[in-house]
Amino acid sequence: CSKVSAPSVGRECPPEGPSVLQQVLRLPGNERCCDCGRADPRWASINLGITLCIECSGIHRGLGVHHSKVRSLTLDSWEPELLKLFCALGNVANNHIYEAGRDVTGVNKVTAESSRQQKEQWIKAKYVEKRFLKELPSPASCT
Amino acid sequence: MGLSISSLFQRLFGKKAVRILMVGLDAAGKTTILYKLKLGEIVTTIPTIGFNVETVEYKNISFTVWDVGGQDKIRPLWRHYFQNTQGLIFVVDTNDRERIQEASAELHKIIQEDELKDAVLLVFANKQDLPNAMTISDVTEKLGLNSFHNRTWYVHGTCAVQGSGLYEGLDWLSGELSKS
Repeated sequence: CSKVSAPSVGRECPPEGPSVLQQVLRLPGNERCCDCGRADPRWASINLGITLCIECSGIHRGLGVHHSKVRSLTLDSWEPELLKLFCALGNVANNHIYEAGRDVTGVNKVTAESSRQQKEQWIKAKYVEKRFLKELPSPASCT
Repeated sequence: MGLSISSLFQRLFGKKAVRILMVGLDAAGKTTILYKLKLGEIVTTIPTIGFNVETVEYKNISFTVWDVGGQDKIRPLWRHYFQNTQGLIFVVDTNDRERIQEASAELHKIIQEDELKDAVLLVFANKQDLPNAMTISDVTEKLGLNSFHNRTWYVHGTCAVQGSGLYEGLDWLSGELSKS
């Protein structure tokens, strides 16, 4: 069995050790949706290395796979290599980059209670427009 | 010599009823297509766990469209929807080049199923608006559609969020299904 099995549908491969979900959620910060903060995420963006609630996963799917590749933590099979890489990233590391410059913009992060439209705007600003990245010091200021 | 339910329905209301199954990998756009056809508008979607079913009236045909979730581990559930399917719609995200082989493998797997042997195949090559989308001839080749010899099939480019191409696909389906 080359694939890591999720707990709910363990037909051919009985789970050996912790499930994908357990391993991913164990990482500090991953126990809440990376974008809206809702508890118990069951979805993920495998290129961004983050966990997501189902609603934010729906928004990420709408961005196209050139921005975000969404998978289920329970309904999709995960190759061990992908899982390993995923566990080296995580929500804390991602937000440290994608939200590093948010304070300067004065934009508030959305919450689980925000509207779908607000969440869409937030997610697009964060990952497509990359509005909250921290600007690198310009060459001039280094002199 | 009684009338079957469907032919009775057709005589009474002048509408032929057909059963359509819509499958494809997760995030291909199946649910968006279903509700664009049903409501004429773009609904916000979340991943489908289980299925959605809607009846769409078009050109004197009443299409009952089953839209079934596409995540890896729930694809074995597709076969439970095969029975009495007259038309199969296979939806592909043409922007997802990494998974076109996986899509092809799934299509080839289900097309061999005995219960689908008489079903016509419509491929929606979706997300044609995205920058990296494969062309229709690319998709035709990568899905190996030309290897389907005993199958009536058609591929059409679509952009579900703009609604383009969807009715052209239904036109083809209604043409094929009204022959039978």
